[in-house]
Amino acid sequence: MNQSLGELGRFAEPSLYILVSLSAGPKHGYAIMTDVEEISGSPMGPGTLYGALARLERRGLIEALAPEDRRRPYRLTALGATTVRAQLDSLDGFIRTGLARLDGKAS
Amino acid sequence: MSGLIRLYPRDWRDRYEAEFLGLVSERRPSVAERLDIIRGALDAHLHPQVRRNVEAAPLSPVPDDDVRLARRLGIAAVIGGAFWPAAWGVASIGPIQYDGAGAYRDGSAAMPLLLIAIALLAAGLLGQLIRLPDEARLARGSATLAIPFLALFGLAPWVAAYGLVAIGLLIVLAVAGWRSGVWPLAASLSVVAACVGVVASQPTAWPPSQAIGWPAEHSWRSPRARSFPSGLVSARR
Repeated sequence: MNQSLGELGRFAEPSLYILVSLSAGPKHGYAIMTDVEEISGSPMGPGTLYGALARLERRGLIEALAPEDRRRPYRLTALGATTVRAQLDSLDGFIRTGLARLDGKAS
Repeated sequence: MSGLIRLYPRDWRDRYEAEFLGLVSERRPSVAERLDIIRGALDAHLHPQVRRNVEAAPLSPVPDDDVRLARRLGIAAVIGGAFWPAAWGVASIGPIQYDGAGAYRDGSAAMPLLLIAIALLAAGLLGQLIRLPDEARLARGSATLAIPFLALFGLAPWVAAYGLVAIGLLIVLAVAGWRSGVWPLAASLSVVAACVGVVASQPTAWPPSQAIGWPAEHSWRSPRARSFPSGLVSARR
């Protein structure tokens, strides 16, 4: 079972980046921001980050861990891991199809 | 940065404020990031994701009966808000009168509507005094001050300054009520828009030197003018 990120509107893409970032292990907000910037090549603002975190947390895709000073790490839940895998599989199929068409192979 | 965080709803701040401030303290936010924070605050109001833990923090320290009463008075204020433009409409079509200093529009027929509007708006303000918690000092102070200014404007509508001060206080109440977490954003925006609309719909009220009805304005001294000649400002022709 997984959840679609499409219902998150403009937060769908940032949410996917966050889920991918957390796939490598728990991270707090600033670490997620810098990691997402490395992954995507563009920065993610604090307002967008926390808008996406709140949505992911509410949907049970991530969970907050005990705070460390003013930093609170987040980690993927089992549902979050399933969801991000399904999203990436879908993207992988999309990319393969697109590349095959560019190479002139029927698909 | 602590100023921008206050744009977020109270429930959101209860949950995320500490870590959010920790995040932005890691590096100085750029202009784009500040705009992103403002956009995030707007989103948090329009699409709240954080639900208050009712057992840990009651929704309002105000008793339910008081909240219900305040809500009814708020509905009365909305109705009063509709009477206000109606009064202006009636005043704007009043007959042109002439006196020794010239002509002015006699809007005295609108007086009953204006008084009803002011009474209902004042009732709504009293409701806010019942509903708003003590911590919302600015909002409570604005509501308290707006009541006498509304009453003064009802008694002397040719002194536009009373009306302008009352409208200004209503705007402060709307913003401070929202910031205190009691007023929904949509309600605050509606009140601000209505107040701005009332002032903007009175182009003859500007510049302010005319709007405040100084003694040089003959109409407010005229005995006939005292029967509500024109509202915010005398409509001399």
